[in-house]
Amino acid sequence: MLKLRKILCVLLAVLMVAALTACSGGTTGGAPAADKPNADKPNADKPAADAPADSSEGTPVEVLTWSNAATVEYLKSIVDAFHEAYPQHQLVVTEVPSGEIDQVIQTRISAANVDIVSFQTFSRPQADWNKDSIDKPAWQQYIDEGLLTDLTDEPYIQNYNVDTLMGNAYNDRLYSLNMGVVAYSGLFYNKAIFTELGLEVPKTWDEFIAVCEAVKADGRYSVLSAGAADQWPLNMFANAILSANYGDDAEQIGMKLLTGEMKHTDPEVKLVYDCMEQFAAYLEPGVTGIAYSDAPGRFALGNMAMYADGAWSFADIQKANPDIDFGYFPLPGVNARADGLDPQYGIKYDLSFAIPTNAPNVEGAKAFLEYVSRKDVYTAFLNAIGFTPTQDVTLENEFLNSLASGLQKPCLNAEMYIYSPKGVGEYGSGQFSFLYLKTLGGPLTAEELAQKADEDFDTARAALASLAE
Amino acid sequence: MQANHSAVNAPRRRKHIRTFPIWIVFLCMLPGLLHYTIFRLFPSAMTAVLSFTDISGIPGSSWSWVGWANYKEFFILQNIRDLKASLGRTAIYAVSVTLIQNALALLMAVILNGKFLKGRNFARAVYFMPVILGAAVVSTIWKLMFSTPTGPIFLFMKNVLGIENPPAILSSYTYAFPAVIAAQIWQNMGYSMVIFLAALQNISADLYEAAYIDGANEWQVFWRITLPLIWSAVTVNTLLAIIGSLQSYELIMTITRGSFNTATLGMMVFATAFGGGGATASGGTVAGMRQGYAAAESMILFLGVLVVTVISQLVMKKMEADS
Repeated sequence: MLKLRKILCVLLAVLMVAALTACSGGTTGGAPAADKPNADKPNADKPAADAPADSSEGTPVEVLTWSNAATVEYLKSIVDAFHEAYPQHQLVVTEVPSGEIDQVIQTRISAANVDIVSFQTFSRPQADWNKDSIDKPAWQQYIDEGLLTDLTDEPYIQNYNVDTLMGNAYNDRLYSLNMGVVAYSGLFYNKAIFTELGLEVPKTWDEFIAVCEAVKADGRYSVLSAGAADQWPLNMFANAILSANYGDDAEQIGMKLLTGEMKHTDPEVKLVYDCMEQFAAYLEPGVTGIAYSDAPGRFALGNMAMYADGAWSFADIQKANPDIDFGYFPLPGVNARADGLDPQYGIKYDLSFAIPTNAPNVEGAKAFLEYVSRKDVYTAFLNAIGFTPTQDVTLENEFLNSLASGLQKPCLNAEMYIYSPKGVGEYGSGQFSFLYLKTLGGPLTAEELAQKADEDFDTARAALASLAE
Repeated sequence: MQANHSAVNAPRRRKHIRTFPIWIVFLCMLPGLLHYTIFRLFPSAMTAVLSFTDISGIPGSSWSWVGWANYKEFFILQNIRDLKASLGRTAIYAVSVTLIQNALALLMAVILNGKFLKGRNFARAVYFMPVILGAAVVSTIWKLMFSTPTGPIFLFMKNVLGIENPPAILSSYTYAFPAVIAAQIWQNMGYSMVIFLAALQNISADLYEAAYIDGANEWQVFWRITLPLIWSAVTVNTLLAIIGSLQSYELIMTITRGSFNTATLGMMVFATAFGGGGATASGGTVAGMRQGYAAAESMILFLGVLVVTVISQLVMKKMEADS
């Protein structure tokens, strides 16, 4: 009996050790297929004919991207075709919520178990003029530490308009392959409602307010909505207001705000807060509780006149209600443009694929980039997800083609230029956050919010100076 | 004869105690010790070490010793208004969670300890279930509950309570923080309840029987017998709740991302280390990736938790002695 107990004890201890070992191993084995040891990596260099033909086989090429239904759906739809083109590789698509992508990229690059990661515009870099005021953004740290593969000399880059791609370069080198730029300082509008109420697409801010007033006075439809619970969908419209009024000059405003040469209460910037306050007043009640993922579907129901979002959501809207007739127009500035053009869009480099240098399957990752750069694949991709092309291709997408008049002189949206100093308080961070405004249930008026932002910037600058002493 | 019998049994009992050689005991403890050392002790010690570096968290990146610079930065650069607000929220969070969670857990434990209650095992499992759910699942549940304009709570406020424009709870400067506290309590109440249940089941039925024979009512039995006898469980639950709530950031991160006056100190630490995320269409508001600085914040948080825990323990011990 005693012996049996001893044996049981030893067995228990062994089992526990085994369980712990299994747990630690699970981090690798339990993760997506790309985590598996790359035992068959040599296959990656073999000619296609030698490789397995079964679509469930091949070295995994894991693409990590944020949740965007159209993008993810398209990537999943090309899994088999990619495998046909590169039988030695197997595409694995992993999506994470947009708000978590930065953390997940960091974790996966640290673990060296992802082949392709997705970025947007490489914006707000740390440079000589601001190095004491801001932290280096993650993308810049990755590149400076040699963790992203230099793609500049890859042959498929020549499929693109290289000058356009270089707008998202760092130190004149390309570390990500941009799949397209996207207009996102605009509003979706329901054409049926506009026609019914006799409304025109507004060209100035006053006309926009007049449109809002007309819909409100009619009373049958919601005027305006957004996926405000996620915050960024509204914040990007604060920057859209800045871009609509100042275009590329927003870069100087962003720099001057950081250095203190310009204040949030100065008329040029205060204008943004005032417009935000007006804009917020027309948003539907309870808008701050509407999740971004639900918002396109709500617009698609057809009882809302306008919906604030990037053009990338057109596919979600179409999918939710194929019968809805909608358009997209750029948020107008207070004054008509001096060059006589209609209001122009603020844009950004959207989905950009990068290859970590420590990726388990770099060859597979490059094969993937080559594949999606093929003209036919690229065109189908853009038709599906709603980007403006960075290759010279003709799109059949009617919605995308309708954006052309607002893309004659686009500018990078002001979001790319607005910095917050290290240690800044909550009113100075978050890029002109709408959510503090009284018109949205927050505690402050536009005037008070601009003053608070100045106070927070001043406090942070003083603290930085004190720290430097 | 009785003495002889005892004398005969005594050596046998001693021999029985010595059944396991000491190496077996250590062998059995080894997995736990290894787990504790590798996954708890070592990372904690490394956090203290890293707090004196400028390490970023980027693999392979260079780093250097910066002395007390991170601590200095915390106290100089941190916006004092926001820091005070977050400390205040942390205190409110800890006190609310500790008091409400334990009170509810004790109430449920007493109810579910009733021998003749039908389906009590099922009820225990149901109340314990949120404990095994991850923060992501819990936050999804609560976000759906509070979602606007189709969530059940929104519809209840509108259709049953007759509120014309019900507030979006999770994006309200007034209601978001209480809602996050409620979610935290909901998630962890089952854990406290199980500890209370274990303690309640150790109380001898004879004591209750004697008390009832002496004419005590339910209330008196609870205060004079039950509570004193489960005081050690109250102490454990209180300390666990205090420590857990002071460090908590997962639910806040996943439900509100620290917006709408919900950022506690734990959330600030997380945002510094990994970025707040989500405020802009092209990335977070906080650059993050400053793990050296985040480690310093963690150490400050740790010291705060340590002080509060020690004080709480002393108070609880004194109360135990008094009772």
